[in-house]
Amino acid sequence: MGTEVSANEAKTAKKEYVVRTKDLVKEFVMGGQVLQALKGIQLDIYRGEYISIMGPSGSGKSTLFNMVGGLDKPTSGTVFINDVDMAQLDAQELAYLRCRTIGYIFQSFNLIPVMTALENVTLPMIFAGVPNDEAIDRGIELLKIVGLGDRLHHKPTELSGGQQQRVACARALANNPAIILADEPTGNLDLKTGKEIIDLLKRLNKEQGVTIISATHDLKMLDISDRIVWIRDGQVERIEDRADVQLEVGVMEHEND
Amino acid sequence: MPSASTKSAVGRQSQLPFRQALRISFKSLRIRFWRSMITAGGIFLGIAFLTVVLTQSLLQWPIPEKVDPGYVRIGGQVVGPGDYDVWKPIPVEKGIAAGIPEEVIRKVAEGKDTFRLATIVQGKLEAKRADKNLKRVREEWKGLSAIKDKLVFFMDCAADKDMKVADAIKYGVPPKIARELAGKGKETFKGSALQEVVREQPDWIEPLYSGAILDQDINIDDAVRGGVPKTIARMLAGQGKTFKASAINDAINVHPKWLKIWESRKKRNAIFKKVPDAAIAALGKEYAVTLNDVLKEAKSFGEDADRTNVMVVNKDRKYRANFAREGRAAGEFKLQDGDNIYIPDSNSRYRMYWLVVMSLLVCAVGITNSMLMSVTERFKEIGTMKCLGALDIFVVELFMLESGMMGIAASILGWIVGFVLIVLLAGFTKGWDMVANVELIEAGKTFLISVFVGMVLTFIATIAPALRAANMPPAMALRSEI
Repeated sequence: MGTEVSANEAKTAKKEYVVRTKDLVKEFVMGGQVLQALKGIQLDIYRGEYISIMGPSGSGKSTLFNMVGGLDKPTSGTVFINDVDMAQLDAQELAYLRCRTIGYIFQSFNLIPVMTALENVTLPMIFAGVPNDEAIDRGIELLKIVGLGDRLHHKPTELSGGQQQRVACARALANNPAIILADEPTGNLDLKTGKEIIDLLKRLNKEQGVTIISATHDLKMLDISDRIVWIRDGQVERIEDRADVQLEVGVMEHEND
Repeated sequence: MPSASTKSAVGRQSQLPFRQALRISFKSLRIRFWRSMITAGGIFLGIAFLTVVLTQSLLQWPIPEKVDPGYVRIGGQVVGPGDYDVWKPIPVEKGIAAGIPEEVIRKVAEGKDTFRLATIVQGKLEAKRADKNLKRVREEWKGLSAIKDKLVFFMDCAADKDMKVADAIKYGVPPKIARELAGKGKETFKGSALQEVVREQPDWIEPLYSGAILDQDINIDDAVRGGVPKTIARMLAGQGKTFKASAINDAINVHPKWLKIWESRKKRNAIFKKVPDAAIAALGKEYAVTLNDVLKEAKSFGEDADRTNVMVVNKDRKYRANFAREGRAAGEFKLQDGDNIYIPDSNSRYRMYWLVVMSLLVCAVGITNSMLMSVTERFKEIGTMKCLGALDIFVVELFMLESGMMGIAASILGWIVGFVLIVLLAGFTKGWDMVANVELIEAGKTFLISVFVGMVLTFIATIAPALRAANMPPAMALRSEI
């Protein structure tokens, strides 16, 4: 483990780990060449934390996000979710984990286009075996939480980008997950709606106690993050607390370009 | 979420009940109605085509025009029973006993002690033909004799003989010209005088006659206008379009001979007319050939004959049976007047197989393409579903259900449309009695085959992309952009 991580570990010794990665390596074969997207990532994330994974395009944040979310398998190394080694899980257990432990929010929303907002939100509950009526009640409740109580029966195409992303947030929360993974949730949104989503995520983080892991290069996200993980060339460059970051915003903007 | 520290904290995602999957896939079909319709359209077209080909094979038998009572037609190749010597030999005395005149029997038996009824029937046929041809020859002869006199006059002109003014007027020379040529008070003129006029004024008399004067080539059309029968004019011209005017004179000389030939032939065939139909009918009952007789003899049709696929159509155009199909023995029933025996050549069956295989291929390509597209464009959706906790097998189930429903509906519809189409087509082009003869069980078979093929192809076309999508890591499925 890196020194920064050890330091953080000391600070939050009483907190539980919700996600831990160990020597995470992911290689892609592109045009006959092996490309290392992740080069041994060590990352510990605590329960109830709002963590932002920052880094320029191609730095490997989306890959890391996919590994942590169990959407792809690492070449080597391990991911622990609630201290369970993901590599040891079979397909059914992995599906169970994706269904109940992790909620996903994507840059391109990824709502099922043929389903209404409510149906999109209830789908993970149906997969989890929740009875239909119960799922609908909870779905309505969740959509109210994200401020779409009056748009229950609208299809994604009938909603604005911000509204779609809010449906996605509600969907991510459907099965009371321990973790919400948000891959550039504001990437496809304008400033104002992006801000709304960020506020919503923060609110969910505070009120529902969900751990939020967000891959982003939206600097507004930094403001509300508990910690920021900087990734560069597939490695953790540094991990900073929010207090440190605010001082360095200007510098980072420069770095990001 | 409890923070368990062992793997046991993770449960196993259970498969959704079938009802739930059915509900979701049905909803998905209904929601993307037009997209589904287009996909189903691919299946529909393929199955409709297959049905057309399959049903066509039920209606494939070409029905020849009605055959006159007394004749049997075998295959497309042989007309008339006598051409084809399949008939049973009848002892001469039986024939006499039945009432056939002895002279007829002696003629057809050609010195043997048996004769064939077919030979008599064939003779009847030829007599009929002779009658028909004689009539035609007479008409032609009439046409030629109409120009005979005129042509002689103009040929005489060519020979520079003295011509009478009255004759000239009679044969079409304008009276004023004829009188001018003769001069005042004279009643004749020289043939060369008319030639000179014709040389200056070719349109002045009919082309045939002006051509005759100058011994020119005559166009077929001009000859026909001049009264030469078309067939004769064509014959004289041979391959070309013109003939020499003098050739007509030869034709006129030859023609009476033709007439004599036809008349003698008619005389020869007249003997068959003496055979009472009742006698033939009486013997026909006893000595009628069976289908097997025909088939035995059909060897000489050539090796190509497909004798396992024989069909008899009677004069009312009702199918008798699909004999000897699948190796069963041919029916031992007696052939009747006016029966058509259809013996296809073996190639026709292979052509049929070939067509069915082709239509299956078209069907497969259409369906695979539709399903492949329909699944591929939803990779992202599949990825999303897997993120939300769908099992691989559930994703596959969903797509199989969707395509299955589409496959059944489209196949049934495709069969109906294909069947109706081919039935209408056959009805209007080949006759409704033919359609009425299609056995319901056979039609039912095409239905089962079509729907089965539709289902299987849809299944195969869906399972491959669906499995691929389901087995993909969700990250990759989510990344796909279509």
